Formats: sequence, C-alpha cells, structure tokens
Amino acid sequence: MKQRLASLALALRRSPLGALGALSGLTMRESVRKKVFIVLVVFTVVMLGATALLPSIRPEDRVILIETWALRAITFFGVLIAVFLAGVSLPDDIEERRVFTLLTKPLARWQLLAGRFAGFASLLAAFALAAFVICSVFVRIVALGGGGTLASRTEYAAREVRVEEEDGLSKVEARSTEADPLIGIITGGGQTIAFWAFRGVDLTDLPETVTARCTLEVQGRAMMSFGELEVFLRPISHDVPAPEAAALGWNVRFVKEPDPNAGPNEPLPLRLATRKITVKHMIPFEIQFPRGWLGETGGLDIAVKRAKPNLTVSVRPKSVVLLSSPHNFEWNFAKAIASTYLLWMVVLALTIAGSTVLSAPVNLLFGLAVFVTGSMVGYVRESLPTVAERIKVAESEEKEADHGHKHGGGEDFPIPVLRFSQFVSRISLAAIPDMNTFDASTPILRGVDIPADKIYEGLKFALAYVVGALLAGLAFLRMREFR
Amino acid sequence: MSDAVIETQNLTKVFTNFWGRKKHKAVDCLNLRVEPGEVFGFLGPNGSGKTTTMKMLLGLLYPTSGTATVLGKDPTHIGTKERIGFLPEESYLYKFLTAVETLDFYGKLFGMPRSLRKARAEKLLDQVGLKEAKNRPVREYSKGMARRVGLAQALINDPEVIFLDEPTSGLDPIVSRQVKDLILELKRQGKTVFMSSHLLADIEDVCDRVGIMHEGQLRAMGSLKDMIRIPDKTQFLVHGLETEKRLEVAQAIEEAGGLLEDITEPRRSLEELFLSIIGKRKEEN
Ligand SMILES: Nc1ncnc2c1ncn2[C@@H]1O[C@H](COP(=O)(O)OP(=O)(O)O)[C@@H](O)[C@H]1O
Ligand SMILES: [Mg+2]
Repeated sequence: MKQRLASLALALRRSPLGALGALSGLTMRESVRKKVFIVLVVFTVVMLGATALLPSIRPEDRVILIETWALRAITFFGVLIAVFLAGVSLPDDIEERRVFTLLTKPLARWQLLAGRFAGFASLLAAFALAAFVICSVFVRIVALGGGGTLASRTEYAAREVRVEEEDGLSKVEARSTEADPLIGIITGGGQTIAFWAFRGVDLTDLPETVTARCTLEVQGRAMMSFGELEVFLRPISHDVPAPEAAALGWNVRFVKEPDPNAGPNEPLPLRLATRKITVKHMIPFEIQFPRGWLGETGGLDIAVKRAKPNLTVSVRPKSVVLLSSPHNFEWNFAKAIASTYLLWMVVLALTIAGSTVLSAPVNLLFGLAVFVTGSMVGYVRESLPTVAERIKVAESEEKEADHGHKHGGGEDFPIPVLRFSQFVSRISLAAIPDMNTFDASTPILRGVDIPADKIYEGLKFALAYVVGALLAGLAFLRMREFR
Repeated sequence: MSDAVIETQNLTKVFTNFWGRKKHKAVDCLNLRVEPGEVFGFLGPNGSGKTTTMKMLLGLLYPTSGTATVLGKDPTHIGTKERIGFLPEESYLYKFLTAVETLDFYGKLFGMPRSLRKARAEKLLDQVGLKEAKNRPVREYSKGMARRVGLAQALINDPEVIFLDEPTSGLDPIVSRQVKDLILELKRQGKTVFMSSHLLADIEDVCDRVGIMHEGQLRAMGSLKDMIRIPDKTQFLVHGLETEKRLEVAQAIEEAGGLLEDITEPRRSLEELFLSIIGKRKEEN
C-alpha cells in the first residue's frame, strides 16, 4: 500500500501537475513569507471588531449588518489579492528576468500560467476558509450577547402568477424585462384579481404556521401611498384546518354551501379564507396561515384584490413568497463565501490573463477597472429596456410627424444617439463580467437563503470566464518573447 | 551529420519596435555547430549578439529567420529542457527563498523525488562553495554568492548540455577560478558546454573551440589551439640555463637557420600570483 502510494506520488510529480504544483506552492510560500496572509486575517478581525461597534437600532439587525459588512469587506480583500498580488506576479517574473530560468526548465508556458492561477486560487481558498471561520465564530458570539436571531429562510416562489380580469372594468398593463419581471400593473376601477399558485412546496421545510411575505407596490390616488387589499387563500385540498385559520384572523367560508344530502364519504366543498390588510407603498407585509392549508401536495393559491378601486398595484412573480423554517446560519454564510470565491476567480483569471501582455501598473488598472465596471454593469442591463422603449416611442412619433401630425415630441435625444447608447451598452454587457451574478449580500441582508441555483449559475458563469480568460492569456503568452 | 548538440543555420534575429519597425539586427546569419563533449567559447565584445543567440537556442526568443536545433530538436521542445541547464547573464532569483529552497524548487520542476533533490542540492552547494550560507535567504547574498546559486541551479538536473552566459562576469578571481575549474570538471564528465564571454582569458583557459562574434556576425570559428598558434614560430621554455650560455644557444639557433626574435624570462600571470598569495593566507589561518 505504502509502496503504491509512493509510486503514485512519483507519477504525479513527473506528470505536468508536478511542475504546476511546484509553482503554485511557491506562490503560497511567497505570500506566507511576505506576511500577506497574516495581514489579511488581522484586517478581517479588525474590521469585524469595528462592525460590532456600529450603531444599529434593533439588535436583530446587528447580526445581519455584521454579516453583510463582513461579506463585503472579505470580497474586497480578496479582490485586492487577485489584482495587486496575482496581477503583478507574472510581470514581476518577467521584469526581474526570473522567467529565463523558469522557462528553460521543463515548465511549459501553460504550466507557468496555470501554476500561478492555481497558486493564487489556493491562497484565496485558504483566506475564504479563514474568513468563514472567523466570521462565523464572531457572529455567534455577537448573537449570544443578544444580537438577534441567527437564521435564514428559504423563499419558495409560486409556480405560476396570473392576473385575472373578472369584469373587464379594470386595466392591466403588462411589461416584463429580465431585470424586472413585471407581470402586470393593475389600475382602473374593476375587480381584477392577481394570484400566485404555489404547487409542490416542500412541506417538511415549512413551520406549523406558515409565513408568506408580500412585497407589492401599492400606489394610492393623489399621492396617497397606502391602500387596502383583500387577501384570499384558495386551497386545492378539501380537507383544511378551518378553526386554526380563524384563530389567525382569517374569515373562513365555503366556496359554495355544502350539500345537506351528500353522503358521509362525499368531500366537503373547497374553502376560502379572506382578510383585509392595509399596506404601505413598497413596505413588505407578512401573512400567516396554518400549514394544513397547503394540503398534502403543498399546493395553495394566494390571491390579492383591491378592496377599493383606483388603487394601482404592481404584481411580480416574487411579490408573494412562502418562508421556510429557519435554517442554519453557517450553511448560508458558507454559500455566500463560495459565491464570493467564484467572483474572485473571475477577477483572478482576468488579471492573470492580462498580465501576459500588460505591464504591472497597467495590469493593476485593468484589474481594478474590471471589478469596478463589473459591479456597475447591472445598472446598464437595467437601463437597456428603457432605452429600447424610448427608441420605439421616438420612432412612432417620427412616423406620425411624417404623416403631417405635428406633435411635440417627448424624446429629447435624437434617435441615432439613443441607438448608439444602446449599442455601447450591449457591447459592454457582453464584454464585462457582471459581478452582481455573485452578489450574496442582498439575500443575507433580507435574511433569506441564497438559492442553490444562484450558486450554480455563478459557477457556470465563472467557469466560462476563467476558461476563456486563461485560454486567451495562454495564446498571448505563447507568442511572447522574453528579451 | 545531425548528431551535433547545437546547430544553427542562417540564424538571424532582428529586434523590432512596438510598431514592428526594424530597430536592430542583433544576430546576422549565424551558422554554428557544437559537437558532443566540447566546451565551446562564444567570444565577442559587449552587444555583439551573444546573449541574443543563446536566448534563441533556449526558446526565449524566436528567430526572425533561419533555424536552430538543440539536441536535434527545436529549442521550444519541452523534452529538451530536461537535458539542458542554463546560467543567465545575471542570476535572477526569488529573494525570499534560501539557496537550498531555490534548488529544491527548481528540482521540483524536473519532477525529481525529494531525496534526490536534497542530495543534489547539498552536493552542488558544496561544490560552488555555499555550504555555510545555504540556509540564508537569497536576499542577503552578495552578487558573487547569487551567481553561485545560479550556477548550482543550472546543474540541478545533471544536464548533458550547459549554457553559460558570461559565467565569470562580476566574480572575483578566486570564484572565477573555481567556476572555470567546475567547467573543466564538467568537460571531464563528458558534458557539452556552450559559454559566452568577453573575457579572453576565461575562454582561453577552458575552451576547446571558439567562435568570435562581432556586430551580430560570426567572424571566426575553430579550434582554440589552432587559432592562437602562431605558425612558424617556436618557443623553448628552459629550466636552469646560465646567463652566459644563452649566447651559445642563440648562436646555435641562428646556425640552424632560425631567426631569434627575443629572449625573456617567463612571467606568471597575475591570476596565478593573486591566487597563490590568497592561497597562502588561507593556509596560514
Ligand atoms: N530587447 C532588445 N531590443 C532591442 N535591441 C536589443 C534587445 N536586446 C538586445 N538588443 C541589441 O542586440 C545587440 C546584441 O545584444 P546582446 O545579444 O545582449 O549582446 P551581448 O550578449 O553579446 O553583449 C545589442 O546591440 C543590443 O543593443
Ligand atoms: Mg550578453
């Protein structure tokens, strides 16, 4: 056994991975010798200590605030490593001519690139691990001292969202974009009802009394920013606990009166629970109901209707979500750190690739620019539909003007300018990695679980960028001469 | 024919600026051939293209035209790198590593097992005279010490072909002598050495064959002995001849048809004198 291990070790050492490992080991050793790692850990601890002193109103906000701050600071520290250390390592080797000795050893150019990448990836992994442990312990201690709850919840979204006009009197304007998937804006005077159809919700993950969080944009008339809504629970199961719902403040009734002649095995008609809620513009409210209302299959419709007309309500797919039982905080924080690690890998791959052609100072600027623009490119994406709409409006106005109708145009910018702005936005969206893909602080700030598919999306995105950037870097490096 | 260790054909390198415009022809149609087991001296003044040639032979620069092969393969071939060693013009090292760690790192690049790396590093550091300082970070080294680490790293894989770019530049006479002795030792082991230098004495001391470069062109090449031999002149080195007898010898030479140009007492080279003085001091201590 021992012999086999030894021969395996030898085979590994003689394989391309051996030289790669040697270089990544050198990178790690350098950062330890130059005390990079210890400085980072000290910074993290100091920063956490400072957040503990942050004034915050409610104790339960304190923990969340610390978590978000810690996450943002850690993200930034890691980006600094990726830009300021990784981005200069190869230019340094070239400038200080160590690359002569490296490349006259059996070290292929791809190994030089991959070795440096692997070295800094390991360094960042070690930092991520250390940061995770430090933050978890710190947050636990703060929570013990009355800092609030340490939990996050999964948000279950509806399988389907629909807006139904009941009488044709109200108006539904629908518009939907990738950044802002709006289902409809209900205005006018009718009886339109919006409903969220939950199906197949994991009942084992829900508490006895289920909470639904509703984030509806309600706009009253004459700048009054609140209004009254009627909320309905429409179960799909016949057998739901009515008294428990009544105890939570619901008016429970049958959809139609039970048939007195029905046999004993005949199911009772479906029930309906209603209540009225006054809501403020943009402020989420929560409703609670017994878990039994989801039946055995985890299915329930939650519907919302305006109590009085002339109220504007915006309806989005995630305007109503069900909250799970509280989950372990560490697991969620680990997911946040993992997501952050993926962001680092994207920046790292880009700076390493950039360093094959750029000199050290230029590459530093490049790395920082990638991070900063990547963090802002989300706004560009959000603005794209608006630009498209403005172009459409401007074009139709122009057409009308052609037909002799003289309208005062609502668009200030000439169409070519708008088109150019659209073009530039599209190019930058395609070229710059959107760092918001890896943003984990928003869910943490809201106390919800980071969805697993967000991590998966981030992983795919990061993988594509890392592979693409490293391949481009390798192409440059192979062409390069060392004078 | 093709069993030469190093061979170049019309090897040319033109340095261009950023825009691709021609800046300087550093090597011009170089044809070289280095046979196995020989110590080849690449002699030329500063800026004559020695380093440029060497970098092309090592795959660090790509030729503008012409070809180069090392051990029968293109210089960029990775397999060749297993069998060669290179000492750059200056020793560029990772300053945070010690000498032992430096050699260990380079050994790892060859996939050498730990025990072998350790043994080689010990032996080489001993050979280049860095036994005492081997565990100090390279940052603290003097130029000569760094040079010796550079030499040791070039030999870590026990290479068949060794490229030495100005191996003795910047070294004091003692170390310089040690380096030259090491080169002769490598020759005894049957290695091929390709060394460049602008120091004539160095080349003269160790090389079998030389090529003389000037402004990128090879001006002369051949066996060192043949090249510096002055044809139809003879030198006697005589021990214990009294001053009065010199005249008789001179007469005899003229009678034999020779033309006597000069009679002098041979001198030691300054290097020999210096080394003997320092050597004596060391023995006394
Ligand atoms: N990177 C470079 N760019 C432009 N010219 C260079 C470069 N490197 C060397 N040269 C020129 O090429 C010539 C040969 O240089 P080099 O090979 O270093 O000479 P040597 O090693 O014989 O002293 C010199 O004239 C030098 O100026
Ligand atoms: Mg030179």
